[in-house]
Amino acid sequence: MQEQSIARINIAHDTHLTHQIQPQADSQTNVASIERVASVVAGSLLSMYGLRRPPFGILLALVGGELIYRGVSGQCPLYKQLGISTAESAEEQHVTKAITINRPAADLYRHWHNVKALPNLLQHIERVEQIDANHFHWVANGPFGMRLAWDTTQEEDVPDSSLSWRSVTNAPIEHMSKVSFVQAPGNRGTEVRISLSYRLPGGALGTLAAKALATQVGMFITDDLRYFKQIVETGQIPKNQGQIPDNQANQAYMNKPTDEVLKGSQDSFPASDPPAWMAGNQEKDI
Amino acid sequence: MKALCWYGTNDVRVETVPDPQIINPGDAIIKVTSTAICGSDLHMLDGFIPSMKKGDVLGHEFMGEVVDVGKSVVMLKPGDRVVVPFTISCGNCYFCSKGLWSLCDNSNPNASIAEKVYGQSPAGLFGYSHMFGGYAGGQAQYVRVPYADVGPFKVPDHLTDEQVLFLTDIFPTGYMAAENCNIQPGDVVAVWGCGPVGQFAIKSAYMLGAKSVIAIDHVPERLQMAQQQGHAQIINDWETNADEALKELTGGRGPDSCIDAVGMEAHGLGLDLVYDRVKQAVRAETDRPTALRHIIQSCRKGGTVSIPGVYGGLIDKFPIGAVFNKGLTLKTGQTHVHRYLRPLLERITAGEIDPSFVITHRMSLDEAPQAYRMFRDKKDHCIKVVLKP
Repeated sequence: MQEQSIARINIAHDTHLTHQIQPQADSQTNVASIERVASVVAGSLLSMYGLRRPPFGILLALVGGELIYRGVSGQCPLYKQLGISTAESAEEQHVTKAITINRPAADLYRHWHNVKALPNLLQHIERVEQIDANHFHWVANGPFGMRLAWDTTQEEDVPDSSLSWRSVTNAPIEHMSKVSFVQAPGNRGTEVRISLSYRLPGGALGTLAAKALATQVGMFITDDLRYFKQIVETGQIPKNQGQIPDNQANQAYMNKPTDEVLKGSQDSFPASDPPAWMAGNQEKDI
Repeated sequence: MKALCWYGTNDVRVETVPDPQIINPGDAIIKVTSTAICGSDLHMLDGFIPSMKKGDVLGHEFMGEVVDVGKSVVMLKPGDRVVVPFTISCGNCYFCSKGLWSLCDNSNPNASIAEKVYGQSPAGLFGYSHMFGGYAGGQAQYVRVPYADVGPFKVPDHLTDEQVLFLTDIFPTGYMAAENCNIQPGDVVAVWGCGPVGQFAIKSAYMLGAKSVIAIDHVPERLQMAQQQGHAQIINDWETNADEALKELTGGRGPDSCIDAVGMEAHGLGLDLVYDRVKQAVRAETDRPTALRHIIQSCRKGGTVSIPGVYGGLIDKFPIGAVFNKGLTLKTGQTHVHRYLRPLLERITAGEIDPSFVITHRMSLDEAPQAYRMFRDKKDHCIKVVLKP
C-alpha cells in the first residue's frame, strides 16, 4: 500500500521542468527586460512632468532620471540591497488535480490520445491543432477572460497509462503537462491526474504572479476534469434551466451544445467498439 | 406556465415563468398532475438554505405525465404516468452503481460550490437552491427532468396520484430512516418529530420488525395521527420531560434506535433554544439541533441515531462525548430514493400501506403561498398539503 502511494507521488512530481535557467548575459543586471523598458518610459514621463514645474518638480525629474538610468543599465541599487533580481527566471510552480472516473484506464487514455478531439471533452480548451507528427498548437480560454495559446511537443506516450507534453524551446512560458490514468483500488474506476509545471519570466515578480495564477489554474483543471468525467460517464453535461443565470462555469457549459460534444468525442472510438453511453441503456438496478 | 417562485424569506409567489424545454438528449418534460409541499421546503421559506436566488422555482415532490422526451430517452414515452425522485442521479457513476443515488457524482451543475462547503458534492436536487444544482422545482405546471431513463418511475393506473405521490420523497425517506436503524427483534424505536417523514418512519419501523415505536412531538394532531395511524406510543415533549419518559417506557435502557425526523429548525424549549436562536441570528451557527441533542442523550448505549431530518451547515454544543462514551452509531444522508421505488410501490400495491393517510389539505397551485404559511405555522391542523397545478 505504501509502495503504491509513493509511486503516485512520483507521478505527480515527474513533471518537473529540467533546470534550464538561462545564464545571465551580465552578472550585474538584476532587472528583467520588460521591467527595464517600463522603467525608461516611466522615468521619461516623470522627468518631463517635473521639468515643467520648477522648483519642486526638479525633484521629480531627478527621480525620473534615476528610473531611466535603471532601465538603460539594467541595474537597480534597491534590488541589489534587497538581494532580489527580476532578471532571473521565476520559481517553478506545480499544480496537480485528480478525479476518479468510473471507466477503464484504456478508454480514458484513448480519449486523450486523440488530442485534436480534446476540446469536446474539456471545458476550457478551445482547439488543438496538429502542426506536425510531434507538435501541437493549443488554444484555451484562460483565467480573467484571457485567451491563451501555446505550442507543445509530445514528450511521452505510455499506452493506457499516461501522456505528457512540454513547451517548445524558447517558449515565453516554460511548462510541462502530464495526464496519467491509474486504476483505483476495488473497482472504483480510474484515477485521472493532470499535473502542470510552469515558470513565468520575471524573477521574483514572476514568481508572485505565478503563485497567484496557480489557484486559478488549479480551478480550471478541476473544472476540466469534471467536464471530462461527466462526458465519459454519462454522455452529457448537467445543465439547469428555468431560473436566473447561474455562475459563470455553468454559462460555459451552456455554450457548448451537447450534440456536438458527443459527436466529437465519439470520433475517438472505432464503430466496432463504441463508448459506454452509446451501448444503450441498461435496465436500472433497484 | 405557472410556478411557485421563491423571492426571499417569507416571500413565495405564484408567477408566470417560461415553460421548461429539453436541453440534454436524456431529458424529459413532465406535466405535473400532483405536487406536495415538504417540510424541507419550509427551510427555504424561513431563509435557512443559502444560495437561493429570486425567482427560483421550488418543489421536489411531484408526479405527472410525460409530454416530451429527448432523443436518447428509451425508457419513457409521452403519455407515461410517472413519479419523480427528488434526488437527481446520472445512473452511471460509482455512487449510482452502488445504489448511493443521492450521492451521484455527475448531476450537480454547481458541484464546485457544494465542494467548497462540504468537501465533495452530493447529487443535484429539484428546487433546492443553487448549491444543489439550481434545478427548477416541481411546484409548477411543467418541469424538466434530466436523466429521464434513470429517475422517473412508471406507476400503474389503478393507483391514485395521492397513493403514489409520496414515493418521490417522504415515504422512502421515512423508510430509509427506519432501515438505517438496523432494527433487531425486540427493538424499541423512538421517532422524534411527527411530521409526514416521522409518520412514515413510524410505519416503516413496524414494517421492519420493531417491537414498539414511541413518537415524540408537541403538536396534538400530529401525535394523534402517530397514535391512531401509526400505532405508536406518544410523548408530548412540551408537557412531559421526554428523556425521563423514554427511560421509564424502556425500563431505563433508552430506545434501541432514535430517528431525528425534525432537522435543523427544531422548536424545543429551554436555555439551549435561546442559545441557538442567538447564534443563528449572528450567523455563528446555521442549524438548530435541539432535537438532536435530546436524541443523543436518550438513546440507549450502543444504539443507533438515524437522521433523515435535513441539516445544512454547522451546529454548536454537539454532545460528542455522549456519542463516544455510549458507543452510538450515526446514520444519515439524503434518501437514495431510486433504491426504494419498486419495493415500496409493491407494498402500496399489496395494500400494506396507503400513503395518502398523511394528507390533510388539498389546494390549487395558486393557493400555494397561503399553503406554505399554513403548513409552517401548523394552522388548521395542517400536516401535509397536496397541490393540483
